[in-house]
Amino acid sequence: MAGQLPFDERPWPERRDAALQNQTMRHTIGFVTRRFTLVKQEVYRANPDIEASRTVAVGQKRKAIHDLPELLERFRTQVEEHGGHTYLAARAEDAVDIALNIARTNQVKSVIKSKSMVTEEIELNQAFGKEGIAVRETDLGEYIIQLAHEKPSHILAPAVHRNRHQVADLFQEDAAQKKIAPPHSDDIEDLTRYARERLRQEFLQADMGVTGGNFLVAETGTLVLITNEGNADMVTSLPPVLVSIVGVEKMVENWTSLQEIIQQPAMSGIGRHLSSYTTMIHAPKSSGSAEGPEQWHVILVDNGRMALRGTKFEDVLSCIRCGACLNVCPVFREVGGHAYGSVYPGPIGIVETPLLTDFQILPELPSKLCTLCHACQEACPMDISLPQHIVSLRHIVIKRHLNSGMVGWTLKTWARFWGTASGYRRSISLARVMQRFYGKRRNASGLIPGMFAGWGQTREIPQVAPQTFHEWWQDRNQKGE
Amino acid sequence: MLGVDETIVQQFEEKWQSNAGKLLHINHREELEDLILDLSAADAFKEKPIVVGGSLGQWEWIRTWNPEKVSIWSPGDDPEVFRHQCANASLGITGCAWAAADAGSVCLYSQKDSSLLPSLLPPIHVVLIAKDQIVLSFHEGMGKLYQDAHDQGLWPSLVKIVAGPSMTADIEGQLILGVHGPRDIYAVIIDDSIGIQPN
Ligand code: SF4
Repeated sequence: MAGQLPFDERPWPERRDAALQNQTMRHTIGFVTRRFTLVKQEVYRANPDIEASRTVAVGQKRKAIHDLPELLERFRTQVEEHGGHTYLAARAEDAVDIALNIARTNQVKSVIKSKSMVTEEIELNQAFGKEGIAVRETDLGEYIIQLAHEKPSHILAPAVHRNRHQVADLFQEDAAQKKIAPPHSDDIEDLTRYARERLRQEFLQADMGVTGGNFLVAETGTLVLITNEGNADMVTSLPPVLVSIVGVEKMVENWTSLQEIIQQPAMSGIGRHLSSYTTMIHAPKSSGSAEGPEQWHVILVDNGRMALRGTKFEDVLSCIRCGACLNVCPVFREVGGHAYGSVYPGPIGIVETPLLTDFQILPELPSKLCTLCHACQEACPMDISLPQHIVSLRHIVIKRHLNSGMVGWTLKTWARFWGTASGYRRSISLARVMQRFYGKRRNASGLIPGMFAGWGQTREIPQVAPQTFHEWWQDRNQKGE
Repeated sequence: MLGVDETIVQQFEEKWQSNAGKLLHINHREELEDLILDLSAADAFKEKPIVVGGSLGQWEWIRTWNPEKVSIWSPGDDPEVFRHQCANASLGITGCAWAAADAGSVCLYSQKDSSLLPSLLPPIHVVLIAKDQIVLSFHEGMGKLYQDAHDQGLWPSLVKIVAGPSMTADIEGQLILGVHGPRDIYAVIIDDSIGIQPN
């Protein structure tokens, strides 16, 4: 069954132009992605043994996806045996309903949340908001974009498109609203301090915590969360009710598999052996313990994932959201995450978005936001065939006539001319006539009228020579005779 | 301690520091006492500035050492009260289950007799490590966690692995320490078990 993902309704040219005009975003995103890429290369170079672990992890993860239905059952049995509750949500709206029901039953008024892409996918915050339940994002980047009413622009660094002054403005506004002391200055240290104090109170008072999950271990019923800030530790230790909302594909079979894969997100994402905090939840609080939730609910989200099993795109479900493919992608580095219009940006996003939704949203992504440079393939620790998938998706888009009418017509006309030698020659003669008609310009952009015009805005199109090579060759042969 | 591989200890120390963790060697109990008092700025505090996660092993003496300054989690205590103490403390102390040299990380278990809150809420976390708790690789440590759980027939409900202070690079990619969890994290490596026994 196809899943549902939220998306930006602005057409691609609008999203693209907005991104290209945002110099702050482009500067920061360029800087951050290049740095992530460098440190990743460095950690792999300095630790050659990681490579062996990575290869094993890939094999085991593929197998887990293959055996997913059975592993899900095992995981659920384990968690329930430890006193947790599990749910399987077929679609995004089911996951939201389950979470809302838990909140209602417990008369929850305030929720604290650690970073989770899947909750962006199911638009959990909006649904809770409508119900009058305040959800507070606690990852610093997520908190910033929550104040700005924006979406994440990078899966690891969601607020990477904003600079310190913009963040300071948001915090000032927030402080005025809450009638609390604003940050001392625009200094990043001061801004972080403000967020720490501001969010600390919410952590201590929240009725419910929401987390995502990096891995689920079927054998032991364990959920693994990885953060650098420590906010997931707050969320898992402090509120009385904990809801973990996790994509079904996060499953690994057993503890041995976890041992191989657990360091991969930090290694490939931020170039460290481990992030600062790795938290494993195994059960709700046992009586007499100091911390942990009294209730632990795990919502396993399908939303289009299970349907990819058994297709040639199955390996996509091995993604560990490390962000490495985003960081090396020349398109992502230029336009950042918002231009994709999907919760999942970058190479993995342009593959997953159409696949999870069966092309119902943003079918243009594989064609428009990829240069087929193959950098993502090289970067991906899970060996996902991103470029091959992108080409296949382009085929599907054509076959299913999902391109806009104009694009389809243009490409067909082009193919009609250039599909045969005589057609090609005719097109050149035509271009020469047009060139004369529009006058000689150095950049022959005037040559491409109508729907082709956009091409000329960003490309130098060479002038058609007075005599083409073919013509010259023919001429020469005739003269020689 | 006999049988401790000093190269592993050294590797842990290097990696821990490269993760922005701080490191101290303690030879005598008095040194640890002074350190704790200094770091917690205990003199300036009226309330108890030091919270301890319990399950102290060879550092059990901390329980009775300075009751005016220290709150320690014990099974059966009121979790609300302890949480409040942790939220207001200036220094948290815990032991650890194991530490991994290659990742520069420590692993803490949340169990009835040990709380993770002192490692989370105060701005400074001190983790006490005996040299023989340091294993070569994180991989090996994870194996130990699995084995411990099997041997005891019980998994800790929460397990936390710490590999450096709380940090973020969410604003302009600049690294800042101490966003939600502790800003400073000290690994205290006990060099000589004789010196820290009660006098
Ligand atoms: S596709 Fe590969 S590189 Fe991209 S986020 Fe997923 S695992 Fe990382």
